[in-house]
Amino acid sequence: MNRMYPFLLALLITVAGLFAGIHGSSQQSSNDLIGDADIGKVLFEEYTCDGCHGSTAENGLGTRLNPPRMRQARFIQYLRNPTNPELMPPYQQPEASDQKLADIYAFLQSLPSASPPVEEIPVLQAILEEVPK
Amino acid sequence: MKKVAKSTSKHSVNRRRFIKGAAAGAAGAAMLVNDQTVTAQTQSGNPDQSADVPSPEGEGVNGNEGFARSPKVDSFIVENPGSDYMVDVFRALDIEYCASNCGSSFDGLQESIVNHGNNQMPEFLTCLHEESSVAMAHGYAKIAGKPMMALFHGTVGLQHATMAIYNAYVDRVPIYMAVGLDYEGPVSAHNATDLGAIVRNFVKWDHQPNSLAEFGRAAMRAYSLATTPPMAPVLLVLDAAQQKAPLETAPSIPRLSLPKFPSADINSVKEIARLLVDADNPRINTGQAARTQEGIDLLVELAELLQLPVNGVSNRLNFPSRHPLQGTGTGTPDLILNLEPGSRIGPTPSTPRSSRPGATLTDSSELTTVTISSAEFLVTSNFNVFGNGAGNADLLIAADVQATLPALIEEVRRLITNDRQRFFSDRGKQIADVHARARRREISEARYGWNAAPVSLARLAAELWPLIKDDDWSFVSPQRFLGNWPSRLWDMKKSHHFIGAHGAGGMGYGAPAAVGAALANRKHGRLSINIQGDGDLNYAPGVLWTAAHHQIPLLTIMANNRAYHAELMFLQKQCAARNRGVDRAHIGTTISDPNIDYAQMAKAYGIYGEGPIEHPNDLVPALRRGLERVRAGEPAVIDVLTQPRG
Repeated sequence: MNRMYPFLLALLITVAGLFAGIHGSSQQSSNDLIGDADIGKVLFEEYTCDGCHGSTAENGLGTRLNPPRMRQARFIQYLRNPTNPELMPPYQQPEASDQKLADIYAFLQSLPSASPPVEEIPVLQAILEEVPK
Repeated sequence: MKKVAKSTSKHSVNRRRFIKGAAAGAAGAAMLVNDQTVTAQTQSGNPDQSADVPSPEGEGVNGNEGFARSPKVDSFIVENPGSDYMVDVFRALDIEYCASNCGSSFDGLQESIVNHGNNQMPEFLTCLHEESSVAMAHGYAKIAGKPMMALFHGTVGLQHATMAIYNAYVDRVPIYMAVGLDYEGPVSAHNATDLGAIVRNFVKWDHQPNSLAEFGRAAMRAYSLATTPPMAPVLLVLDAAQQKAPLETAPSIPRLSLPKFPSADINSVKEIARLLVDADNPRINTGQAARTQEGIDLLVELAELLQLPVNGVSNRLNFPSRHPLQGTGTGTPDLILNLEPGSRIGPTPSTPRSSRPGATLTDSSELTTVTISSAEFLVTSNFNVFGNGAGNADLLIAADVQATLPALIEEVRRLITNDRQRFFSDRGKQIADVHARARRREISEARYGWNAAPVSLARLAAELWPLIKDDDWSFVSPQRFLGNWPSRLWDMKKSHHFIGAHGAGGMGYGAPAAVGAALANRKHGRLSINIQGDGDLNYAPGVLWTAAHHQIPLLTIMANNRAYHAELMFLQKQCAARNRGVDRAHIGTTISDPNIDYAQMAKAYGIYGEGPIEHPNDLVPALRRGLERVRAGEPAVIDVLTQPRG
């Protein structure tokens, strides 16, 4: 078992790294553009992102973006080439430049959550308690 | 003739009040034929009738003795007009209300409604747009279970009504419609050789009677056709001359014969029962299956017998929203039973959300699909109303679902063995578990954006629930643009808990349908709730005045996103696809600059109004104040700025 430990540790680090790259945190990388959250807020509204994602990017028909679960590069890449363009329209250069998308990304990173846990919402807690165990 | 009418109208009113009194004394819907005869005899035989009518010179108003009427007035006064008979027929049909925007082509009939009929059965509802008249009747029928009358003026009134008629047709809702036709009227453009042609493609039947006797028969036939599945609007064209001509003797009122509703033949019932009992993972999808509470109860009985899932909240409340078998179950189905699936193609069976409308087919060869739908009897030319028909089923039964269910339940009960009973019991436990997990997940999802301003649609529905749940409440608006949050969070189990949607998706339905449904709820003392889209309200907001005028209690909560948001997203998609400016999708799709003040709008129409409520912390107090007004018998409007979508 001890001999397996370094291998398992390496595997864990590799998997964690992959996960972060695909689904993971929104940490800044050295190659990232510097986004302006204030400009991003304006763009978020101008591009009517709130139409599908809500004004706090947490509700609506679209994916929750608050907090962003992709790195900036992946976020921009996804907007250029979304999985389902029928649901999420692609945003291309030059109309939506990398810098503009980085600004939106910065805005999303700056957003506080407006979603307390159910336990802190008595109305929802009461409805939840009506569900059979 | 018109001038004479004007100069004598004051005098005629007194006389008509007398006639009204005589008719009221002979009231009674059951034996209207005899009443009519009695009334006519009384009118012609009463020497005092002329006493109220002053001389043309203006004398004799206060003197009733020795009074003579001029030959001109004598020739104008109409004894026992044909439209009195029409009102008697409508009363015999138990038609409570006539929603209408007034018009000269039916002034004869309107006079009979308000005077001969004493404005009861039907009561004339003053509408400010024909689209509102029809949509009110649409909402009313879905609560009352019977049609309201909607009355239009010639070509122009009927054309105003068309969109709402189309909605009702697609939604398979009966509306008893009549249109006046006056060849002698002041505007020739209000006449047409074939008035019914305007709406013939989306009514079940239209007819222009050429005599009062034929009117009586047509009126019965129209009612019978409208209220027999597939239910739909019908139209009678009423000649103004027939309305106004005096009758020597009123025709008798024909008997109303209502057919038995079309149920599936017994062999088909046996086949469906066998498939249901043999299937390992069947499910039921519903569209407009339950017409009444009995339909819901029957579906519950069938589902509990078989312990199968029912996707039951769609175009109507077909199945209780919190029943453990509500939803699409789990795994891949081997049998789908579509019950009145409607015109919308639903999700494939793998779609996880439990509250979406009925699925039809999948590509799976293992899947057997059975559909029961009365829509197969409602073949429509031109309009692609049921373009997908009832679906590409392996077994397609043209029948009314609710009429078929009792026989199907009996046959299923007969086929269930003890082994299958045990299997069903285990299956039911799995489905109940899936249902409970899905509910917990959906409730948890409601927390997202809870504190956001504008208010999230989930929060709006969640905050409203504890304020109404102890009332006998009725949700009288569509919910798709609300993210279906009401049915996801509320305990919907009675047929009046949810009335479904537009039918054809034509905007302008929401507010008037809610007012009509609230009117039907009023006599039951129910609390009517309308969560109202802002785009929809602006088609014909005058219905708010109708609600105030007729004292119809209804809480309207604006889900105000200041846009036609579905269209905004469509345009946004085009902008993005063409890469020519995603920042201009708001042009033509938003309703701002200036923002519309719905609280002021409500006040202008004579209704309590409050808002806009933007911060969620202000929501509940405003809702409470609105509910207080509604519980006191008034309509009220609370304007809430909401997130765009649920």
